[in-house]
Amino acid sequence: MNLPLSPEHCAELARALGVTATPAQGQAMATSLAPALTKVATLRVSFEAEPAAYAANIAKGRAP
Amino acid sequence: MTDPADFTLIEAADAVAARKVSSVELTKAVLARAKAWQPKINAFIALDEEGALAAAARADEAPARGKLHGVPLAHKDMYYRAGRVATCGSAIRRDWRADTTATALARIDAAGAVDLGTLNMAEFAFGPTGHNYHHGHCRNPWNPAHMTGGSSSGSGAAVAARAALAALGSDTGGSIRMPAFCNGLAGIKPTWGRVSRAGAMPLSWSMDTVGPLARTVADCARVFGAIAGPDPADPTAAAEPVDDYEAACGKPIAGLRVGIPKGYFDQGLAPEIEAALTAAAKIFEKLGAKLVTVAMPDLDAINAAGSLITLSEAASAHRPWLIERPQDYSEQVRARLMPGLAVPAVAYLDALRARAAAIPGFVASVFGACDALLCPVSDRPVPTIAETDVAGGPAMPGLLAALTRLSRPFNVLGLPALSIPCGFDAKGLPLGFQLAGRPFAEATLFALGHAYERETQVHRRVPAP
Repeated sequence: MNLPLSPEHCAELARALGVTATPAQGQAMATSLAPALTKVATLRVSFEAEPAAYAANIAKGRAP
Repeated sequence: MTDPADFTLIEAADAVAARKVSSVELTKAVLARAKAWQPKINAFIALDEEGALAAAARADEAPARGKLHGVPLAHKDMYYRAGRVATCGSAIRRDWRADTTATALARIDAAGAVDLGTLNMAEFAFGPTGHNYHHGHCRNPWNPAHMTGGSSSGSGAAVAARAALAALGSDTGGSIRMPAFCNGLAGIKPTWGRVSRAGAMPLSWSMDTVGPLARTVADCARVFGAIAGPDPADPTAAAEPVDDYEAACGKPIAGLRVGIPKGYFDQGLAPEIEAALTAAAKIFEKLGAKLVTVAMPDLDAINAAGSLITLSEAASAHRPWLIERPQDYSEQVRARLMPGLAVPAVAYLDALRARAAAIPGFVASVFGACDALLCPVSDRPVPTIAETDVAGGPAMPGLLAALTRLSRPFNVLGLPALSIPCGFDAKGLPLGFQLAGRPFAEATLFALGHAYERETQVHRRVPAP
């Protein structure tokens, strides 16, 4: 599988946040993230879309 | 005389209210089941026999407090009760005592329930199978070699074994519906915000939901009615009006449109699951509902967004322990938390924005065409504990993603979904399906689920001790 993030990069990011990560853990992180990251990278969201719309859009979906 | 432990929750509450059975008698009967089953299924983390009997005695002396008066329940060990240990299924919190009480528990207390103790769960609610490497795996009462589902594993096993009359679970990716499916129970994953999360252990705050598992849909509706509603202690709890969920059970369903999904939910199903869904659809049709085919949008992208959101939020919450106590996590949970540390901020935000933007289109296209969507919870019959014991190895991400593929979309979209039992497979393990609805349409799901259950009577079957 093509890995969007390298194992080394994943391990470095963990270390940057203070968490110990071995090369094997970096490999597992990169492999685990690959499917979701690849898919999310294909999403095209409108310029105006905001996370805060989540609760409002749920409320708007209630039956009229 | 019927053993009171065999009563449904509503039958038990009615019997206590009518003084046909005392809360002490009822609680003793349920405790006897709990103790008899515990060595086989490991559903409880802590069984508080003395406290439960004292509470039952007080209930017998007091005027009725509410619709759960004198009824013994137990809950997933992630609902805080001031002064009590809440392990959250972990080693890290093995001795941690909460200093507040969860709103959901406080509301159940206020309705008069007796608390039997705390139930087994996946470590930090992060696992769909029921394995727990700290407190022991939870086992399925229908066949202890099989998994209970998770993360509300003990909730599923205890209620199925009649060791509690209902139990709170929590659902971030399927954690109420999967145990309900595996154990032959009803379980509601509510609309996000419908039930307060105050005092409930967080896993992924923007997707966590609180709901009950029970023997019957009406039992589930009664507990749900007790806990739903706004809460000043949880700013995400919705202010929307609360319906009478119990009254919805019994409402006619003739003319309601039951959606049969075309795409995504009909892909890769085991023959037993496919046959169960077809049979369930025919029952709804027989009851007067109208079956309509509904095309599904791309839910793989929704699931991918949900996965990144959960990983990011869980890693953020757990980072201090990943720094200080990494050895105290099981291999699987540590391996699932670590990737969240590497999710790019832009990917997390894109996932959040895409999720919010997807809701109106999904609701309009799907729930414009139907009142409830009939879908599988699982693509396969209940697997064994051994088959799903992948720890943190290379097979783990794929297996866990597959187990939650059909439940997670409704978490990402914030929609309610009710898991309902619909029979048994050739090995005697339960089968089930879920009904999903538009936001805050839990009452419609309860109406449909109750009508189905009354017609099929699947819930009457009890696992042999």
